[in-house]
Amino acid sequence: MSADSPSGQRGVLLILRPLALLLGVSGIIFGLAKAHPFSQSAPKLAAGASIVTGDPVVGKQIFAKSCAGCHGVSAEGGVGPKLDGSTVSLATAQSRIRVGKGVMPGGLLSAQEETDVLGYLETILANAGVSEALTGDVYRGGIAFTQDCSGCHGVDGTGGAGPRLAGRVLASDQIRGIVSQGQGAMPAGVASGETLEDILAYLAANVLAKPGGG
Amino acid sequence: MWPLDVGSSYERLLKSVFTAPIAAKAWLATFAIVLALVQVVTAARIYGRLKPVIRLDGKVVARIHRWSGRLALLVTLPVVFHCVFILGFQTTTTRVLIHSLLGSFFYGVFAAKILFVRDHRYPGWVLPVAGGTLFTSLVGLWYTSSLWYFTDVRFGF
Repeated sequence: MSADSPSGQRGVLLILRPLALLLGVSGIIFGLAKAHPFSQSAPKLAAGASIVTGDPVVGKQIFAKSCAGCHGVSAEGGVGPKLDGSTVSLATAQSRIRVGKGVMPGGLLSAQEETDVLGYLETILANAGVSEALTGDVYRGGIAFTQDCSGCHGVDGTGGAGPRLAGRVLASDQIRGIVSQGQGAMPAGVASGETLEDILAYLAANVLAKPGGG
Repeated sequence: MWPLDVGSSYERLLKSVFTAPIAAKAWLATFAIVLALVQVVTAARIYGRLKPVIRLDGKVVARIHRWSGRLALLVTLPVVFHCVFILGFQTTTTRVLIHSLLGSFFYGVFAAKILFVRDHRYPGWVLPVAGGTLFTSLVGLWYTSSLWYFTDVRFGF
């Protein structure tokens, strides 16, 4: 029986059909997963909103139950990074809890648990609620932002193809992470080093919400 | 902004029952595994095995097999929405990479298996192999997500 004979062609078709189905459906799922169109990577803070923190005692108990497995019972670190005395901001901590990062999955805590855990973290983070001193040059950052970022985020940061930045509360190391690793349609490494620090200074001075309100 | 709204609505819906979306995902996948076990057992009975154990009529067994399969597929839909549309394909660790790869192929294997169910021109061994592959994929997906969540993160709703 050759492949050219009718029965041979039927045989080939019998093999090709499930293969095409397998690869086609898998390809569609893979493509959707790469695009992950409903990704919630942006923190859900309203413009100018401050972080609401809950009961630190309850937060510590929740931390022991849900976070200590990776971050250590006393937040001394383990599989996950050390949090006790860490310079990470509360806004970043909140973003990590909601969205996750690396091996840490997002959505581990309910809204109330998150608030309480943030209350606990507020007591152990080195500079919770304190805005980071930025070393970049605002003027140079403005030029770099116009060149590298405004195409998607808008000239004044009000958004476009990329999300709105104006008036939002975003921690500097959160932005560093997004810029260096990319996120969604945004490619990794759009800016780095001094240029990135300049952009951060520009964003903090002119685009993002000022820490502590308004 | 609509993508964020869809994701938020989905989260709110799941949080009306579970504490967090990831907990919902872990439990729904576990339910799917239970239904998949029903699938394997009833399939074995359909192929003439386990007759002394399952003394049900063949038609009833076939009906249980079909409906447990449909329900299992239904239960995986919220999970796949969370994994594919919100979390996406990730490669951060070996566990996550294996989970992402298995997840990508799962519905492909499922589609091929359905073809083998409908098309009777295939040799008799093809359907059990496809069903076994589908079950193994699901176990792999559960092992790299739900079991990890229950053992390494939290066992609870």
